[in-house]
Amino acid sequence: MVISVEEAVAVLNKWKDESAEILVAAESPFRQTLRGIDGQGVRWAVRQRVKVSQVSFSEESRPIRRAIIDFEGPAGNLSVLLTECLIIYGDPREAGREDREEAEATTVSALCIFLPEEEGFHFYELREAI
Amino acid sequence: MNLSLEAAVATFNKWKDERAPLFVFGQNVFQPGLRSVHEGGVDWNISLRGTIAQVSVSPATGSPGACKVMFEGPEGNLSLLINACVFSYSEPYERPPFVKRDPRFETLSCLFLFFPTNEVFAFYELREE
Repeated sequence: MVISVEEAVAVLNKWKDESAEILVAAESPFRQTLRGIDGQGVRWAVRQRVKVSQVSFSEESRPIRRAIIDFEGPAGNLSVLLTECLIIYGDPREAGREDREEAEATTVSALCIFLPEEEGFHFYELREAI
Repeated sequence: MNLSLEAAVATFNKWKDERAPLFVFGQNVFQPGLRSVHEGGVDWNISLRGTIAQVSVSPATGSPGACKVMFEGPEGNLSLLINACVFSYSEPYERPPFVKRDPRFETLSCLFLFFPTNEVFAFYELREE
C-alpha cells in the first residue's frame, strides 16, 4: 500500500515509541526485489539491525513535505531524508506465497522507501526474539 | 593521493589480513563534501563499524572482473562492487565532525570510494589508543 510521508512518519514514530527492532536492508540500484551484491548491476548493499532514534518532521514544510529519520544500531547509524520518494507499507500477509510463512514468523510490518536515485531502503519491524 | 583499483584491492586485503578495525561512512552525493542529512544536500548517510570480511576479485576474462568488498560489523554488513570506483587515500585523515567519536580509537588513514553515480563511501582505518 502506497502511503504518504505523513503516514510513514506516523509508522516510524510508533516504532520509535515502542523501541521496535528494525532490520534495514538497502541497495542501489533497486530493481523489483532485493538482490544483494551478486545481483546484476548492484553497486552496494547493506543490512543493519537498528532502532528509530529520531523522527524530524515539520508540518509547515510546504509545498513539499520533508522528514528526516535517524536510526541507531550496534554497528552504526543510518539517516534518511523522506521527501520526493515512493513509500510502501507492507504486511507480511501480503508477501509472496513462497516467502509468506517466513515473513509472518519473523516480521510485524515493513516500510519500503524508494528514492529518486534508485536506492531502495526496506525496513522490517521484527517480531521479538528474532 | 589517488589509487588504482589494484592498489585499493591491496589496501582492503591488508586490512582484512590484519583484521583492522574500520569505520565506514557513506552518503549519496559527495559534491557538498561529507555531511549529515541534517545539514542538507544529501539524502542518506550510513555508518558502520567492523572489519573487512572478504575481498573477491574475479579472474580476468577479457572483460573487467567483478571486484567486491564485504564489510562486516556487529549486526550489520555492507557489500560494495568497486570496479567502477575512483579511489583516494589519505593518511592521516580525521572523521567528519558530525560523526560521534569513539574515544577508544584514533583514525590512522582513510580510503575514499567514489562511484560514477556520485555515491561515496569512506573507510577509516582505526587503531585502539
